[in-house]
Amino acid sequence: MNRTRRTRFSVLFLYLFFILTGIVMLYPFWYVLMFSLSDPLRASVNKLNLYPSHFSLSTYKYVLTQPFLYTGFKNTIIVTVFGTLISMLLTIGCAYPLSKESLRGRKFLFSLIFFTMLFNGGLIPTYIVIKQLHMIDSLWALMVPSAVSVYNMLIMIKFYKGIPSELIESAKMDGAGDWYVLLRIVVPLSGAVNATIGLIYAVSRWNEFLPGVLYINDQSKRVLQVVLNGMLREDSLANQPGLQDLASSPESIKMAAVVISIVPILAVYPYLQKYFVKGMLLGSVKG
Amino acid sequence: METVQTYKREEPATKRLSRLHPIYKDRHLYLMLLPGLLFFIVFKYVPLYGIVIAFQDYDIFRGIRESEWVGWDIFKEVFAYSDFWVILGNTLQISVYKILFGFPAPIVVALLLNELGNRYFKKYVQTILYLPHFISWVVISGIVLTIMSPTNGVLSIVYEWFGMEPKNLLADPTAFRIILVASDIWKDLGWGTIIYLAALTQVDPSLYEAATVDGAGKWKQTWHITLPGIRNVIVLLLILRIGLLMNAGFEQILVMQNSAVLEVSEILDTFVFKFGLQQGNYSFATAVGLFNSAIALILILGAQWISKKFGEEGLM
Amino acid sequence: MLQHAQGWENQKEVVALPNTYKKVMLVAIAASVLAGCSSNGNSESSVKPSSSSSSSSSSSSTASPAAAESGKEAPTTLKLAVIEMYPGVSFDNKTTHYIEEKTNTKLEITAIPGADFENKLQIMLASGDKPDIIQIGTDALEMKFTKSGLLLPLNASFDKTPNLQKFGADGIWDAMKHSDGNIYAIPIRGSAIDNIPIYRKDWLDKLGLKVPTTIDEYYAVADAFSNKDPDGNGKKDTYALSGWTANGGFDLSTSDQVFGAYGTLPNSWLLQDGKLVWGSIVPGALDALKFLNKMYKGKMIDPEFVTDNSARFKDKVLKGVIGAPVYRYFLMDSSNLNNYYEPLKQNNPNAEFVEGGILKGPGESVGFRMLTRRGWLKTAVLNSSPHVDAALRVLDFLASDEGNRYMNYGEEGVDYKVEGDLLTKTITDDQMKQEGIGQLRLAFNALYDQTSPRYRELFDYAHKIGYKDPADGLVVENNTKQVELDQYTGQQYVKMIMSDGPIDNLFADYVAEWKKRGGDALTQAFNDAYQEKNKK
Repeated sequence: MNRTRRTRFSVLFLYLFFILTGIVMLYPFWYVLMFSLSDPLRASVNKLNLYPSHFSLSTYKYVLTQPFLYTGFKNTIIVTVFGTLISMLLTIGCAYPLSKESLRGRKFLFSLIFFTMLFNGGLIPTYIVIKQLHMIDSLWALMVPSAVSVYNMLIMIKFYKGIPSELIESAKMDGAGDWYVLLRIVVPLSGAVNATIGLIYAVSRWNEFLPGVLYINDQSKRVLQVVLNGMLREDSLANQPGLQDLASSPESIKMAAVVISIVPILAVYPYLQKYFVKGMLLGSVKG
Repeated sequence: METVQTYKREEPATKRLSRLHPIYKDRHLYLMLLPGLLFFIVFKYVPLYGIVIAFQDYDIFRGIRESEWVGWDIFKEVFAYSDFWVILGNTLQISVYKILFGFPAPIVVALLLNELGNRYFKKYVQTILYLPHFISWVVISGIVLTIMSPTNGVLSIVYEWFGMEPKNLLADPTAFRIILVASDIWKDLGWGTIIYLAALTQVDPSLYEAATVDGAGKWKQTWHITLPGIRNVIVLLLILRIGLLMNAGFEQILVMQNSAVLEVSEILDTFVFKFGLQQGNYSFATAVGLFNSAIALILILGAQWISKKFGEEGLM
Repeated sequence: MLQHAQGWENQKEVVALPNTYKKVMLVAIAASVLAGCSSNGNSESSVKPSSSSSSSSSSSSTASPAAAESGKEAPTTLKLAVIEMYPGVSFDNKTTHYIEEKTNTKLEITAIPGADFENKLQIMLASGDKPDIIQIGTDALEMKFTKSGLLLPLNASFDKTPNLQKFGADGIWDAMKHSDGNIYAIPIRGSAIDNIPIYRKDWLDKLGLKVPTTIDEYYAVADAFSNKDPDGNGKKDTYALSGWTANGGFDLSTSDQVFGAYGTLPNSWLLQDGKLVWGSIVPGALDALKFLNKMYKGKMIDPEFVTDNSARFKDKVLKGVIGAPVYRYFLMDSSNLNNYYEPLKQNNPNAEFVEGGILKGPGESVGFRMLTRRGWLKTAVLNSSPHVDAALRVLDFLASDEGNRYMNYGEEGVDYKVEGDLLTKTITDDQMKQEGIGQLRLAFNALYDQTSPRYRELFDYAHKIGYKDPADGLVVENNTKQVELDQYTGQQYVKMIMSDGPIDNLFADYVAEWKKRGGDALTQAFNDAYQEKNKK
């Protein structure tokens, strides 16, 4: 009797905790959403914005009718999908071998790679390398030079080490080669880490701004964040003859931009959820 | 005489070679590594020469080859700056607070999330938790300013409740630091749980069953099964986070700092940005970057060594 | 720097430097550029071939295209690296063609987003790109480039470019001259002063007050505005003054009228007895700070003045929270220049601002802060350009009345019409952008014919009561000290304004420290430069 009361209480506490935390976490997005749905001339940054002060879709109308926005979406989708693919291939390709303690030269290779996480040569030399590879003004420049994050790779290595060695050994005894082990055993069993690292890479690409400014000049290749940023007009640029648009205001566009870049992610995320369950199978394979 | 007969086939040539050359045995693994290594060489090692800018009076037009070599002068200039030690202190202080409070938070929340039974609730809560991560600091700092507003923010209501005069807490050095840490947790707590949740899936569920049979309660189970199960990930992330000590939160602090709190909020990165990059002084920025990297290396190696002493795997 | 899971730092928006006097822009500005650049031989690029511009400024040789008209020389191809005025808008438009036609050139333009403008420009140049014409934002960068011998002295060819010479003959070229007497960049021209003292007229009327002319009258008005509920809503939610912060620096310019009454302007040079003095440390500044301190204690200054950013400040003015600052007189332009008037009226149809003047104080008053004549954007020609003549031709054309007018308004009769002394645009802003009107501001002088007569009246008035910075255009080597000292000043000033006790000692300490940290050296350097310049 005592136990069930205690567990019921703790369950209640748990749900309450998450409802409260959820509200707190939701608030920034809510503020942004409500602001973006308000009349741009009347909306105020100085208010809590729990509801749109004067409901208006004019900001969204303004932003969503700019053809340039869709150029941005197109390019960002390409960079996100293919960039994540490239990143995952390279990261898995490095992580799996390095997760094997028996690999000759493991420590050396590990240090080699790890070193790059701490020390880098800076923007100018990197730009020059990209330029010499003829990647300037190509979407490749947004997918390849930043393909592998050592941080992510280290996490992946940790996860691979957690895969029971008996599985791999028994497969090897049956004649499986390293490629088979990787592709048919390890990768399918690491659903959770694949989804996690994949998500981290994808979000990183989606939100990327600086490389899109530095490496791309061609307007047709602009990515989403650069496009959205360009839509903000700061009035401190005084002396703009004639640009007296009433369509929106920089603040409102900023808010709408946040909503527009988050919504696609929210739409895609639920599909990744199932991979977290997939990995659960691993536990039951053990022993 | 009986020899232990192990099942032995005739050794093909490749097998013989494998036994002699460990590299040949693992040739497929090396092949897998190859594209990645190429990536690192081309995009990380080749540009590494840029580090010398820290030792030069770098002029864009003379380029690296012809810019004047000044040795440690740039570093001396950085260290000689009147507020340098205050700035360094701020950087460390803010970073340590963020680690102290911000590192355990996602772990705790991930553990709690794991306890949620209802799948739908869990899914929605997770998605909501991630949301602040996607909002830029420029926007979030604006929201913080609004909430903390002494005139019409949430805070002013709280003050009035207690019958006190609302203060502008963001202008108060101590309060400002707390707000920095709190808003940082606010923003990245949810996102930080992702990795831990993934780690939790690797814990063998049968262990929990066995523990329940033995009569262990939730707390005991968490302490003896869950935490040890994700310990390797926690240690890895902790070491890396310690390595990032010199990163106290550039973007956040740049948009949130104000004149009244500069003495506690100026960090290395904002300092370099305002006094180095914005003045076009690449040498300055590169020098501080190099300094940060060196410290990071020392910290990580130190943390790694300590973790080994505790019997952990550490980074590798 | 460490790179980790989060990828690149999102350095999306970096707010403008606190010192509006310098006007350094790092935020994306409304600007468009379409640079059609496809890289050499890259199979992945899905480039929509954009007709006029082709390759980016990656290779250095410029071959003149074949299209030679009968009797005319083939047009020279020029490479430009300019700030992006209109994101997403191609340069293949009638304005660009118009320029190309009139100057017999072909323009290959790379537009750099304002968000990271100077950073990217330097990286491009460092990587070997060699445009013919570039744009620069800050003075610091202009000095750097000149020191490296990168820029062409424009004055050497003034005889060949009469329009260009005329462009700055009224003192602008003086401000642009370097210590060697040469001019290396063309500044963008516009209003020289945007902020004057303004007062909520409806509040004055309601409280039965007049626009203050002395510092004591100002105090009375500020008190009434803050404590006598001028918006009649029963809440204490109005103030006379506020301020804002950017990147940790403090912008005091909104309280310039107070400082002016005591004969000084903070963070600005003053001319006293033929010498340059820094306005933040003169005795008048202490008096002004005491006044502000009194105002703060009397609840006439918004407590958020330390922490607000410029967007929040603007919002407060538009929503009727701040009533007596030194701020944009666009608020009185019914043609809604820069989007101030309409939002003000939308929030409160009765809201109205009226201008004020220099307040009389105990001594000699000083006028209001003016923007640097060096502008926030400059255009320069690279010394290495093989087509200097063509480049100068383009700049000269844009500096001419014809070219400049086109770049301001477009084609008469098509894009705008003139009735009497009022100019009305007949196309929308979006159409303007697509046509490229205002896209290439290389030798640009903003015209105000489209604004209301009231605005033009205020424009003239403002320029009359502005204080001409005696040091405007002086070139001093190391600018970093200035940044540091300004930041330190901001910190101390805020402390003094909010101080509970007397501030005389705080001020004395501040001045001593300022001098020690390099203020004396800076003053000396500026004075030397000033004497140099005025010798000539």
